[in-house]
Amino acid sequence: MPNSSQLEEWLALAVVGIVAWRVLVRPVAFRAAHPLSRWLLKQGRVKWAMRVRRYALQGGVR
Amino acid sequence: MNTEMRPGSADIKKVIALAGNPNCGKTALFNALTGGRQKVGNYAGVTVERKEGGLVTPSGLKLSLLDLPGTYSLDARTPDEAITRDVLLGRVHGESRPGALVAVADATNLERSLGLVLELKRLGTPVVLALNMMDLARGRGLELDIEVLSRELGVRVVPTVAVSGEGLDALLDEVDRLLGMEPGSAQPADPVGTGAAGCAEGLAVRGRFKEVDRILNFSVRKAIAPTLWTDRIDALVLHPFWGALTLAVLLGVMFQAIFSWASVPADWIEASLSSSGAWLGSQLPEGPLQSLLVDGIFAGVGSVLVFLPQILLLFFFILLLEDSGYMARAAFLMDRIMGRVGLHGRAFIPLLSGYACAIPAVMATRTIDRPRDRLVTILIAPLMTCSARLPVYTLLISAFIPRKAVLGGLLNLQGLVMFALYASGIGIALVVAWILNRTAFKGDKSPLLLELPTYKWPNLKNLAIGLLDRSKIFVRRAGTVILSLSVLLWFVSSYPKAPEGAAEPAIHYSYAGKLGRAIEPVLEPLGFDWRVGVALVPSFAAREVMVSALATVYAVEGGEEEAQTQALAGVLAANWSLATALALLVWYVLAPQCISTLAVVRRETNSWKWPLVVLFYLTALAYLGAWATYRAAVALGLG
Repeated sequence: MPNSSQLEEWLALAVVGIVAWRVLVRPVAFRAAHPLSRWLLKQGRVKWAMRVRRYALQGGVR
Repeated sequence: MNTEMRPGSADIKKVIALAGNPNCGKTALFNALTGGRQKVGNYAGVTVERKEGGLVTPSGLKLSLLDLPGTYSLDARTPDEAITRDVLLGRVHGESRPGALVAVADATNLERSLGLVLELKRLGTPVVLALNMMDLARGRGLELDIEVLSRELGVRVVPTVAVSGEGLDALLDEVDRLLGMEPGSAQPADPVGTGAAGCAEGLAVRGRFKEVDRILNFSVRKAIAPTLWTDRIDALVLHPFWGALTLAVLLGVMFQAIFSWASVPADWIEASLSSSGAWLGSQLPEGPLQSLLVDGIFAGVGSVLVFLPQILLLFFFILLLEDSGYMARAAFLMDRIMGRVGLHGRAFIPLLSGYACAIPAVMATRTIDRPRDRLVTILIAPLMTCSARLPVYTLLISAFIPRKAVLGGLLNLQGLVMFALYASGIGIALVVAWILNRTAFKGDKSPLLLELPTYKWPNLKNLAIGLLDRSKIFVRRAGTVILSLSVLLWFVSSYPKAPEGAAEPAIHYSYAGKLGRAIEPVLEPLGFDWRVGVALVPSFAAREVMVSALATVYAVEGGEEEAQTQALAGVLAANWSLATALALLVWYVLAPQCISTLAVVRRETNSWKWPLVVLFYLTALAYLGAWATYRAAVALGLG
């Protein structure tokens, strides 16, 4: 069982993780998804290209 | 991530647009029609501001109203005018073409306004003309036959006074009537002259002016009298000497307000947030969660809110100057000076507010309409000596510069160095602007064309709405980035933790400490050791953090802030050479040591490209400047 100070630490790191995810990772992922979907389409992987494109559209990247 | 507003509501609501010349009272009409129900953003991929608001017509129709950037013609000459033209033609990606147009004309200047109305009419979209500022026009003796004007123009005309609300109900009735009409009754006839040669375009413009003259000959019963009082005020405020003096006094008051009046509420916000943080800290057991809440989140919220008073005061003055009609005169007066280095006349307000803080300065560049001029001003704004540099300057000057009289006792050496640091900021900013205008931003050097509007009393409601918009933009958009980055910076300064029985301060073992030591070889040519490197990393959040970071690294015990600074000055004087101190001062004149500024540049330019350009060019400049200073000082025997 983790003790209370470990739990506190995990909670603090979870907050940092969420912030890092929202501010750093997600925007980059949305940006990267658009060219990735085009590349997948060129490779003939239409299903995957559509999936990635849908993800890019979620982030408002057109 | 693209976060511009899309007219998502357009799928449900019909979109109508306000179009008119600059200074015709379009925004006042927009505010009067929509009240506080507004959303301010940018058009996709450009820095042109997009304002959208909701309104309900007398028939109960819910509409989305777009306030388009002011334009004199659909032959667009600036990106703002191009956006207006493209939205009207339905060419902007993600924007629906407006279902009806409210053309706004300044009733005191019909000759200029009606040309655009004729162009709008040719678009094929139903148009109603709001003849705004009718109170001023009547006051100056204008007698107009509205029926005749309406018949000759071929559009319905509604006299309005946006600031008092006169004529707004009639205008909305007309909008209802327009939206009930069959669309496309008139066919667009190449309104923007897409294929026309310059000569044909000129003929079209002359033709429009002739048509406006003809319409006014029919409809105006008594012409408007010239504004004597506007001319009288202009004789003073545009006078080479008295005009410059008036401007200097106004700027003095503004600078004073931003620099010192704003410090009262800012100090109050800072004190209440730090006492709440301390209270929260005392309620929680010492540990990572307490540290995150107090040093990360509370410090982050504080660093967002502390700028609000400055931003509100600055925009209060800007909106006051804009609304009264003085801003155009001030830009005209300053253009001669600013134009020498290729800056726009309006750049003086952002640059002046940069002395308080670069954040309101970057936001104030919205008053500059040409994107090229706006970008150059944004790029040099961080070079102005902001108030956050003062604690670092004070610390280093008190530690290394002797307090001795110079120039026969006229000046103090410490004061002289402080002045030199301030002066070098503006000097380098002007040199950079000059270089940018001859390299990266070389090209179109169109002369300053300004319309000098008649003076008006500013409208309080418009001022309040404008201030609310600015606050929302700052807190919602820049604030979220600043807060998030503060939390991340807390993490790199706190983890990994110091081992049990560690000899060095905790920051030494953190990622920030490791990064500081990793960059030591890079900083060595500047005379900086690993301790300076370690202190530079957290001070990226805000320049003033450098003082507390140095105190932590040099293990200077806390206590009263002043006593701590004095103790730190003593430690630095014993550990550093004068050459190192001078190099660090130069570094602070030039380096982009402020994450909030970069966040605001990202939000204002709507792209990551420009904050990265600011980061890299200023870091390179700071590195070269500090290196040259250190080498010169060592050569002079100060090392």
